[in-house]
Amino acid sequence: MWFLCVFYHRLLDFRKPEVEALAELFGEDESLQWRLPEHHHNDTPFHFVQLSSEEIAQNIAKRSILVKGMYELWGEGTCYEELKESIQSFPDSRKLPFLTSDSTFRISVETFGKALTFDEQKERIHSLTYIPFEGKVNLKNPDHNFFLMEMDESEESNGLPPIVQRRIFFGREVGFADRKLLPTFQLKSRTYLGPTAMDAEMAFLMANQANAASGKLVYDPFVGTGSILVSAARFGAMTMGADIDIRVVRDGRGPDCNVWSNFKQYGLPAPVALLRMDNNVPPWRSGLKEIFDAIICDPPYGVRAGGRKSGGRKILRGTVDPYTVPEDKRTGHIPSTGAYSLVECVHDLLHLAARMLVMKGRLVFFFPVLRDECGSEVKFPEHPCFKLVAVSEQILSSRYSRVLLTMVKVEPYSDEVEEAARLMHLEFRENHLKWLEEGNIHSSVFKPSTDSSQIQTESKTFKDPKPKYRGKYV
Amino acid sequence: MRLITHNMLSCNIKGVKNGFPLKIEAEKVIEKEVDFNPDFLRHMFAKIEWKALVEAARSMGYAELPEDSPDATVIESADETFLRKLHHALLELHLEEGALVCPETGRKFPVNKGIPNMLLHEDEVKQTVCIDLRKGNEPTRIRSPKDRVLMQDVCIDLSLQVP
Repeated sequence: MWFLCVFYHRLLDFRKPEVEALAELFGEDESLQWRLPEHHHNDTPFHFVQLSSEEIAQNIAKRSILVKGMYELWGEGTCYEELKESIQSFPDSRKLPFLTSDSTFRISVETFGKALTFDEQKERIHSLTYIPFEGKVNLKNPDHNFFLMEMDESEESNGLPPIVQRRIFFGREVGFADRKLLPTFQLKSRTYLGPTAMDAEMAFLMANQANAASGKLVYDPFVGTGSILVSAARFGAMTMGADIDIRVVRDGRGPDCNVWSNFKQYGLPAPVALLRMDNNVPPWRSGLKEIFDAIICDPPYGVRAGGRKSGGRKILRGTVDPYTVPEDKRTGHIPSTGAYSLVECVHDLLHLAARMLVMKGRLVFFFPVLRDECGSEVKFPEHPCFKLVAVSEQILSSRYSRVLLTMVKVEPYSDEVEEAARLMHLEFRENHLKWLEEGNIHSSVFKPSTDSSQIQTESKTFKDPKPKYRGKYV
Repeated sequence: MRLITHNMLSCNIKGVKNGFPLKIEAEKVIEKEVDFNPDFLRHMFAKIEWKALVEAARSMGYAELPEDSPDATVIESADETFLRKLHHALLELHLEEGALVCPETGRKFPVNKGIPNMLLHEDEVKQTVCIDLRKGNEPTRIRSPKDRVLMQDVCIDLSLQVP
């Protein structure tokens, strides 16, 4: 069945992948088919999607963050005459069950890109008298909610092509979203925050991409203040986290201001476990595998917060040999940590996920990309056990953005995979300096822009594949 | 730290072959109530090393778990008595203060405020080492690709493997 899916007009790249991930969670076997309304650009908030049942549409809408509502379309047109013809040709057998005399209903008028006065809205509602509504009107809590959606052709602005043309839709609401989650969980009111805490909206999106649900175990190897796990826990999953920095995980900022209190604040079950460990030398017992249902994380990009791994700076470079800490100093010793390049960090993450995820488990993580590379040439991390199912870009600054990658485990962990990872691990260890320099985002982001003017004159001559008007929340 | 976590950890100091299971030295054990979720328990049961769990529960003061791992019929049955015991052992017992001890080396991983510290000291992490017989059996660290090439020359002469 085709449904009209209306999105909130933000985070455009993230909208469809979220619906697709939730569709899989609620039982859709095949990949979804999408269709655009006539003459609408892909950025439009209105999309048609094919789903197996109304129940799935309702479930998706309820849990989604970016879907405003799902509607069964009764008619559409560019003017009210066309709309009337379209509605009248919609089969009565589909309409009459919702127009019975013992039901209550309500008609709402919504617009995109313009505003209507109350009188104008009333006028439009009254123009629908040809639909045989028999029930009573109930504005507060109707059995059936009908929506009349109107939009005019939008103008070009900021290099933005017109995304909608004049169109009117009329449909019955099948599911709607509960965005009340966001003000409750917003970071503004959270007790324990860190510099890279994930904002609530994005954390819920990540949890949806990973299909976090009751009975599942979700792991975050870079847990920090636990902002991502809070969202997964809100959706019912059991959570587990690890971090190399013990102050963030164990101490926080006091007995009432730490990771545990973040969960307590919302009445959510605390994480099953929090560990201090190094992802580069993980302490998992051999033979342990396929235990997590999802791994959701935000690895350190090295721009504002760099990653760390075991081994002091000098030891990793080979300037100094590993020293033995004298017996009496051992108990309080804090092992030195050295720089952990993004490349090695992601390699270790993929290896961990390949081993610890159940089959069809999802790995969801952010990966930074520099923006002056031509969009299509960016190479995302790959692994033989994984299939990349979604890529969504969020622009952070004019220099770089981050993409949310969703990968599904399709191949089991084998000895070959383990051996390849072991060799790569040795390679990183031996050529520590070389890997630090390669893919060093920090210097590219913070370099002075004296030569950027030259780059701009060159780039004007060839078409920019990704439109420039997008910002962080677009 | 809960026993579900303990069941996943082992000592990974270089050279250690048998780092699992870690022995528990309990100084402070508390019990925290957790919502009972049978689906989660059934899912986890397949992944647990049973003997290690029984032993660990005993060292935390809980001896109700059966010695032998029950078979699948007990887990799937509607009777929840076993699942309740498993729930208690796996999720409700907490090691707040204490240590996890490696069975092979005796190295202690401290547990403070419920969080185990699994970081290794500098000399416990594996470093790449090659034996350079020219210097009379003194292990030399491979610091650069050039070193490795030199090592390979020596080792090929004597049919040895470079790590």
